[in-house]
Amino acid sequence: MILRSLTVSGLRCFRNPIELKDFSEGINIIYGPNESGKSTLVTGLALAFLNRHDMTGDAIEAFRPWGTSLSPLIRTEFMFGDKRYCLEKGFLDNARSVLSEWDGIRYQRLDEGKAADDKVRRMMQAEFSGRGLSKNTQWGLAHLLWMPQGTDRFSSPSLAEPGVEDYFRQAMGATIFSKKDDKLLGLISKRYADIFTPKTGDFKANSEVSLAKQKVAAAKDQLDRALRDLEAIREAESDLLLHDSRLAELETRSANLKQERQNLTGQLERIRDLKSERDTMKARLQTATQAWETVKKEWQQVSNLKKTIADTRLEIARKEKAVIPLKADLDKVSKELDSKRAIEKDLEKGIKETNKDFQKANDLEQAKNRLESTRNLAAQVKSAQDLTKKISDLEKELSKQPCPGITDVKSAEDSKSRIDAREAEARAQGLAIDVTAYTDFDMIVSTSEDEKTYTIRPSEPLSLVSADRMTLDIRGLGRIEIKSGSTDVKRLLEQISTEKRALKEILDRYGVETLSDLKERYNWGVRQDLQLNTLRDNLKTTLGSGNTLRLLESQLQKEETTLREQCLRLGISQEELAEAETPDVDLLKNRLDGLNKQRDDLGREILELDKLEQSLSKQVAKLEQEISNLRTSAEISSGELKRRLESYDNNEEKLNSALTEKEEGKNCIEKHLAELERQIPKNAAEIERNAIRLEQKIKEIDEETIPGLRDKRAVLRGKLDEAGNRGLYSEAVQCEEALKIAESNQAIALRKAQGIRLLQYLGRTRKDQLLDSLTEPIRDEATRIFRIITGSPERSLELSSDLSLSGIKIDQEDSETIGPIWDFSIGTQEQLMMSVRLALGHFLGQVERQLVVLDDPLVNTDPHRLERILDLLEAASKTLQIIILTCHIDRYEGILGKRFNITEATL
Amino acid sequence: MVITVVSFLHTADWQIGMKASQVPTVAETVRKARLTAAEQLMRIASQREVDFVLIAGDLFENNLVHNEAAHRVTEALSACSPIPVYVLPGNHDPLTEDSIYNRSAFKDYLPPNVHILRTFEPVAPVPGVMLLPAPVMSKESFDDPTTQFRIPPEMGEDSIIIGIAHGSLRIPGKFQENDFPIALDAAKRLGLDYLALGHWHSFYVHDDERTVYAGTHEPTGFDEQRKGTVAHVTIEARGSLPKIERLDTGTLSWQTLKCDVSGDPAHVVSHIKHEVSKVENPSSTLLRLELKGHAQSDDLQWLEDLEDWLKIRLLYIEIDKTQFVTRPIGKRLSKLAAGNPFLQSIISDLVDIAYALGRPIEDLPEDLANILGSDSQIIDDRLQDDLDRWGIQSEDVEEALRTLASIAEEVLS
Repeated sequence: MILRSLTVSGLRCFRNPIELKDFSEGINIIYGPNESGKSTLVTGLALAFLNRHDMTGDAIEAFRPWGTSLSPLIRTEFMFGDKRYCLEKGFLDNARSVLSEWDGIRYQRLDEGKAADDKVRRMMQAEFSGRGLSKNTQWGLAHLLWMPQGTDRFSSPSLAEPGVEDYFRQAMGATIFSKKDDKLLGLISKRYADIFTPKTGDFKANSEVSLAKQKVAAAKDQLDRALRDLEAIREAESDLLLHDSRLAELETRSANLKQERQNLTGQLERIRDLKSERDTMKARLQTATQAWETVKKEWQQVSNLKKTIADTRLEIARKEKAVIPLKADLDKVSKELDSKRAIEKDLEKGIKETNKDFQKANDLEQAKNRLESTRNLAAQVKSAQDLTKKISDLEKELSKQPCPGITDVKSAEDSKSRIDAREAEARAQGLAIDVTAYTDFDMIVSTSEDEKTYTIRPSEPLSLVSADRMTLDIRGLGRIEIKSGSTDVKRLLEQISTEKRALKEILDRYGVETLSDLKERYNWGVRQDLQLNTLRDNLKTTLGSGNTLRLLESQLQKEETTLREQCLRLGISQEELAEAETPDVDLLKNRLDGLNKQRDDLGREILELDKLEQSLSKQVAKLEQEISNLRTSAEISSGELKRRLESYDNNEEKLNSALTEKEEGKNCIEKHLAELERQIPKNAAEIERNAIRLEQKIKEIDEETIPGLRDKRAVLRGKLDEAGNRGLYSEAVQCEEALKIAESNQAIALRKAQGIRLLQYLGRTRKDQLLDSLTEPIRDEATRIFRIITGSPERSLELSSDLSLSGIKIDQEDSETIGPIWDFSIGTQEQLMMSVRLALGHFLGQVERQLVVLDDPLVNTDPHRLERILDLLEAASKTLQIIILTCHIDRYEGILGKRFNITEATL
Repeated sequence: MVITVVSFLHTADWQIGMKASQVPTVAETVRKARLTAAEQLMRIASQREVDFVLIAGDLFENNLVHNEAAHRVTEALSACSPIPVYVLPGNHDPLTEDSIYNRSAFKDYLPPNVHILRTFEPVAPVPGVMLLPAPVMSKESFDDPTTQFRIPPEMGEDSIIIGIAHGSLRIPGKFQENDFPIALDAAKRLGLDYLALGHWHSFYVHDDERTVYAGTHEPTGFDEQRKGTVAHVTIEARGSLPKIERLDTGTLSWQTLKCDVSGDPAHVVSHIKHEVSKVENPSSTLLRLELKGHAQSDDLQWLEDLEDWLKIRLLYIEIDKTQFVTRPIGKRLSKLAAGNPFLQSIISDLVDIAYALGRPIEDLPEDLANILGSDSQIIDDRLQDDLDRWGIQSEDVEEALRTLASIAEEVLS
């Protein structure tokens, strides 16, 4: 379909009509500034071709020009097939639709109203919306080929709608999938949708299969429960049998035990009687034994007392005999002890006197020794003091005249040598003059070293040398100054000067004028040092190791003080001390030692005697005490004896008789008891234990085990009865039958569903394959166009088989990525949309020339791409009518095409 | 007074409450029919004025059937009152702890003419007759129940001795050791005039002409060849051979009809309808229709219609198609597929899938086979995985073809 003319009025900004006539079959560019109504023209086209004339609602109302009650009216002439048509469509207050066909002379009315709407819609392969404006996806061919403004700008065209897909197939010459096939697939899909969920492919919850499955599950559940209950009943029945058996067994056992108990009862009674009698006898025996023991004790006591008294008396006699010699010894020892103590006293006195003499002699000797040592010490101190003074004087002298070290002396010598050498060298290189006089004259010669006066005679020429300069001062005549210009000489003179300064410094340090003086000073210094060291050594020797003069002086003072004190104690003066004879201290000491020894020996003897005396004294005392105790004890025993015999009239014979009587009584009872013990069976205890055990066992069985079993049995019985009353088997049978029915129904439903699933899967797969092969050329063409536009051969469009856009594929060296379109710039996205439309137009144009509408498609395109796009548009215009709406007419200077200024087109 | 001629009904294996899961939709009807047959039997007893009725075991299918069944049975048994009915517990309703005979229906509400043989104590149903019972006390046993008969010493020489037991005669190949095996010469060895047995469901008279299975009173499945039976026995005197009359009972008819459906479906339908019309009581008839042969066409509507017709007329219809080879792809589908590549491609895919599932579609119409060509029948792994995941079987492929044919017919013709 191609457009011939378009007239729009009463639509948004077009209050007055706008007419665009004679559209080119190729490129048409409608341009104007913003808000001039370019997009409104596209809206007008869409309203005319793709919407019902009689629609109402806010959507169409919004198209009235603002502030007016005007209604949209669109008139368009177009070619479809080989025929020329005119469509007049009004909306709202102007609602009408008239389609006319050109008969060569004039337009003849063809259809009107809904028929006209439908006819035009079919031409566009479009669908009307149920209510309101039709959506972009319903626009049929316009959806594929128009690129409007707004939200649909970047929505990719797709073959989702059946109508356009059919047209497309026709356009592609496809015969392999028809409308009927669509219908077939649609029916299959419908049945599929009834059974399966679209996303997961699972059975829908309300599908026949699911419902049948639920019923099967419920029936299975019920059957399982019934079977479990049946199984439980079978187990209960087994348990019941076991319980019955066990119960019978226990009852038999109980009866047997009771019989056994009965048998034992007689024996037990006899044993009890015997035991009772035995116990009585035992009690009597105990009483008789106690009585006998009491008398026996009494008799025993009397015997003991008698014996005790006799023994005590014997003991007293023995001890009295033993104490006599002890007393005698004690007297003897006491006397001896007194004697020895008297001797000791005399000895002490003698020792005291001897000690006093000895002490005196010792003091005298010590004092004499001290006197000698003090004198020696004083001499030592004097000597040290002299040496100290000498050393001090020598040091003073040394300090007055500093002495150089060997290092300084060597340095000075070296400097002098260097000075001499350099001077010689300088002189060799320096100035030399020869003066020959014609007459005698005096001349003062000054050099850097010195100034001399020479008398020069004709017979005595003078030769002078100087290192650097020379000044000749001839009295009366003048002065001649001669300098050397040699740099070497200068250098030498500098070196000489430096050395001379160094030498002078050393000499000045020690206050000498010349090197010889320095050496002399050095030698003097050495000699003084030697002497000083000798004096120091002597002083050290005089003082001794670790001592100082002060220490010695202090020591001397102390000795002198001590000596004075000693002399004072002795009562003599030092002179008298010196003259006194030295006493024989040893003799006195020996005497003293002898006396001490005697005293010690005597002391030991006294000590031993003292010990002996004490021991004897203790022994005697002890014996006497024992004798006294024995006497007391004998008296007590006698008293006790008397008392005990009182109850027997103080007659010991009576006591003996009583004892004999009691003993006989006890023996008799013992015999009787023995007889009873013999009669009681040896295993009586065992019999009694058995009887107790029997009783316990019987009790346990009768009161616990059997009732417990009966209770359990009752419970099991109850279960069985309940199962019987419930008709558990019948229940299970009914469940099984219901399950069979449910399973059968499920199998039937499942078979049908599986059949539909297979058909749906295969149908869809086949259709996709067909569509894929159909749209492959479109995809290739769109990619080709896109690559030309972008200049990027590695990029290609990813389009599904229904042409919906998946993304842009970028081939890299070893990988490929697919990026969604929104990752790319707006410009690239616009170019992408255009590529798809041009590709579609190319193929759809093979049916007939198609109308492509592009509303400002290149707003975001750079100049390089723009150029390529313009070329493509020109090429496409060979088979397509292209209408471009733009604000930027200048961008389209590069292509041919009819231009329409929208502002000029307004009537 | 000593009766010289004794007449009684011998029946067994009523198995009231039995399951009928092979015919689940009419199971309850089948169960009710057994009670109806029992009532009928009781009427026969009354009509023939027998001296007593013997039920030789398995009166009930299980001890745990519903109470209602117990009461219905006792009511049925009371119908022939005052004729006494002696009931022997069998292996299905043994005298175990859960015995149905301990329920109130058989204790508190037991009709006076009904006697449950709970012990091995001989019973004299009428003067001159001694009944020796061997009630079953367990669900299985290796013991011969007839060895437990107790012949009382005080029994008269002229007394007719009838044993009643439940088990399997030791006929080689027809019994198992733990199934209450009964010696073949039990009657002779014990000097019985008649040995009334239960356990086998078919009427049987042993060589000694005294040992008899009365058979079940109502058939229980398609495999049972005969109708329900009961034995009317007459014994004239001690030692004489019993006169045994087999009576047919039963209210339902279980029939099997085999049919070759290879020919024209119309003829097949006509033939089947004719055969069914010969059935005496179709509303009491359960029919198994065994089809065999190859279907001529993929259109099986005739079979569906026939099944509907049979369902209305008969109590129950079961169509066994295990030997019936259908043609999922026939002329109808090949005609629809002609000139339709899309349809052809789907059919081709289904043929490949059938092949992959191990049941290739046979007898493809020639024109369709030419169109489909001899392309590879191997399906790709992804499709195989999908088929496995969905659990598709070869029958599903056939169903898909049938569905495809019907949808295609709706759309394309």
